[in-house]
Parts: sequence; C-alpha cells; structure tokens
Amino acid sequence: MFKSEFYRFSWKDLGDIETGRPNLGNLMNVAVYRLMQYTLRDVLNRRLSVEKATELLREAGKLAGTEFCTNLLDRSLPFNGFVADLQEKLLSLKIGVMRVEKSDLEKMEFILTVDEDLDCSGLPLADETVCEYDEGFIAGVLEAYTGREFDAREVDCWASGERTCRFRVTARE
Amino acid sequence: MPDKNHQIEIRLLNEQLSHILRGERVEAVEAANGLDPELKELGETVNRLVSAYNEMREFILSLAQGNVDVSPPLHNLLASPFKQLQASLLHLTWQTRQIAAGDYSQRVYFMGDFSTAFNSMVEALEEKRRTEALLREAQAKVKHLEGIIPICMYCKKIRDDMESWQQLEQYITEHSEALFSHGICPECYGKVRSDMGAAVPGREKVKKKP
Repeated sequence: MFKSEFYRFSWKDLGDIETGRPNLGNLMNVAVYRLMQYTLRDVLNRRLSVEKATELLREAGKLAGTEFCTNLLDRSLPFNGFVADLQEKLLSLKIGVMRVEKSDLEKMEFILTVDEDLDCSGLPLADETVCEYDEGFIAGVLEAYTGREFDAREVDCWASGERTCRFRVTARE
Repeated sequence: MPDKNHQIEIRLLNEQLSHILRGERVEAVEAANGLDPELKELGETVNRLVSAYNEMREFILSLAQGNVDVSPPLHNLLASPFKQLQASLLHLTWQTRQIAAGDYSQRVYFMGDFSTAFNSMVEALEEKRRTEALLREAQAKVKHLEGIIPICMYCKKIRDDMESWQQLEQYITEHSEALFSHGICPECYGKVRSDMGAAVPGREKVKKKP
C-alpha cells in the first residue's frame, strides 16, 4: 500500500500508536524528528536540486497542514476561535508556540510567528531560512479552513539568526 | 613602536567603541592604506559591529517610543532579542484588539507574569460578559408595570390597550409576574357580615384536638 504509486496519505496511516508502542509511548526526542527531516533534505538536495528539495518539502508540509486541519481542528469556528484552537493544538502537541502579529480578514493577509519551532529553533546559524515545511503547513491549514489557496513565506528564522520564526501569509488571487 | 597610521587607527577604533558604550550613534571609519592586515581586519569587524549596532539602536529607540510596527532590521543577530520582544508586543497588540472586539477565546503563553496577568484579565472580562448576559436574560423575563394606568374610580376595573375594561387582578396578572390569592380583610368581613344579617359564620379559631 505505502509503496504503491497510487498511494495517497490518509490520517489513519499514522496508525494506532498506543497499541503499537505500549512501552515507548507517543513521545520521542525532537532531535530524532530533525534527524529524519534534515537527512531527507540532504538526499533530496543531492539527488534532485536545492530548489526541487525545497519545493517538495513545502508541498509535503502543505499536505500535512491540510490533513492536520481536517482531522484535528474545528473548522466550524469563526476565525479568532479557529486561531485559538490552532494555537492550543500546536502547543499541546509541542510543535511550537504560534502567535498572531497581524490579521487582515478582508485581504486575507496574516503575519504569524512561531517560537520554539520543532523544525528549526536551536539550529546552527546559517544566514538562511529553513522552514519550508512549516511554510507549507501553515498554508495547508489555512486552505483547509477557508477553501482558498494561500502562500506562506518565512521572513525570519532561527537559522537566519532570529529568535522567532516569522511568516507572512497571503491568499492567492 | 607602532607607526603613526596604526596609532590613529587604534585611537579611532577606541573612539568608535566608546561611542557604543555611551549608547550614541557611531560612524563607520574607513581603514587607512598600508595598515597591518590584522589591524585592518579588526577595523572591518568594528565597522560591521558599528553598522549592526546603529541598526539595532534605531530599532530599539523606535520600539521604546511605542512604535511597535517599526520595520525590524534583517539578518542582524545583535537585534534578534529585540525582534523577539517586538514579536511579543505585536502579538499582544493583536490580542488586545481581539479582546476589544469581544473575542475572549485568545490566551497568551510563555510571557512570564504577563501571561498570568493578561489571561486572568481576559477570564475576568469573559466572566463579566457571562454575568451581564445572565442579567439581561433575567431582566427580559421580568415584566414591568409603568406609567399611568386608567382605572375606574368606582369598580376599580382597568382599561387596557385594547380599550376594554378588565378586572384589576386579571390586568396585573397579565402584565406582571404577580399572582393573586383571594381572602377577606377584617373591615370587609365585618361589612359583609352585617349586610347579610350575621348569616355569615364567625371566624372562630378551630381548637386543635389533643
């Protein structure tokens, strides 16, 4: 199933973790998550190209964001309630501390920050932003909520020397 | 013994660093030709520090004046804690706007005592709104009798909005939450008894059986 060219991700593919890991449980070290993400990036960069790897990570993030929103968030809430729900879920799952800096619901433009980000907080400084997966994730969450397409771009990142990751999010025309 | 150019360069670098220590704006200094490479490199590093410091200084001064929306310097590690502070301030500004618009679903996390104080305030406001809503609901249920009520000076019937005359009890029951329990006052009792030639039985207390 997973190895079929027709495979498409479904939330149930995450499996029954309680049954599968009765002793080790649902938690693991953040470094292990990063180990997977950055080794995958290494191989994608070398096998494809940096641009293609970036694009693929963003696309995967978008799929994750869409599924996350569809399966874990209450899409019937008004925007502010939805943001509070998203913020609380990201916190309880220890993905990061998301905060809204600005929101323009008419233009559908937002500025969000994520502190203690799962993907990057604490990385060595590299003078570049690295959270393309997060960019896709945020766009995916908002697309699943609003039904409109979004672009999210990271303007500040821990890896570029900031202490907070900041994302500028805009709806596509 | 260092040559004159080196002495000048060291003095200039010292002045630049002294300005920084005093919190003043500092100008970059172009290194003179023919300097020792190590001294030249030091000069370039100090100039980079000066540039980052000036950017950071302008940024934090603007923030301190309440200009929370000021554009933050990019790729300036010296300013990154202040950018984090700005992110928190912008978020709190957004939160406050939501609360002003009546949204009490937001909470502030990981900002120390401020989070506790802010979240307590939001919860108190939410509680106040809930209490006010309950009060409004209760008030809506209570019927009020106000204004001038036309009443017959003889039979005491009341004229309602439909121009028909109603018994006092019926009118008050329909226009308030009050109900009537009929009895007889001592004065009326005496009058009724005398009108009926004492045919009405007396109001003797019933003795309880032992």
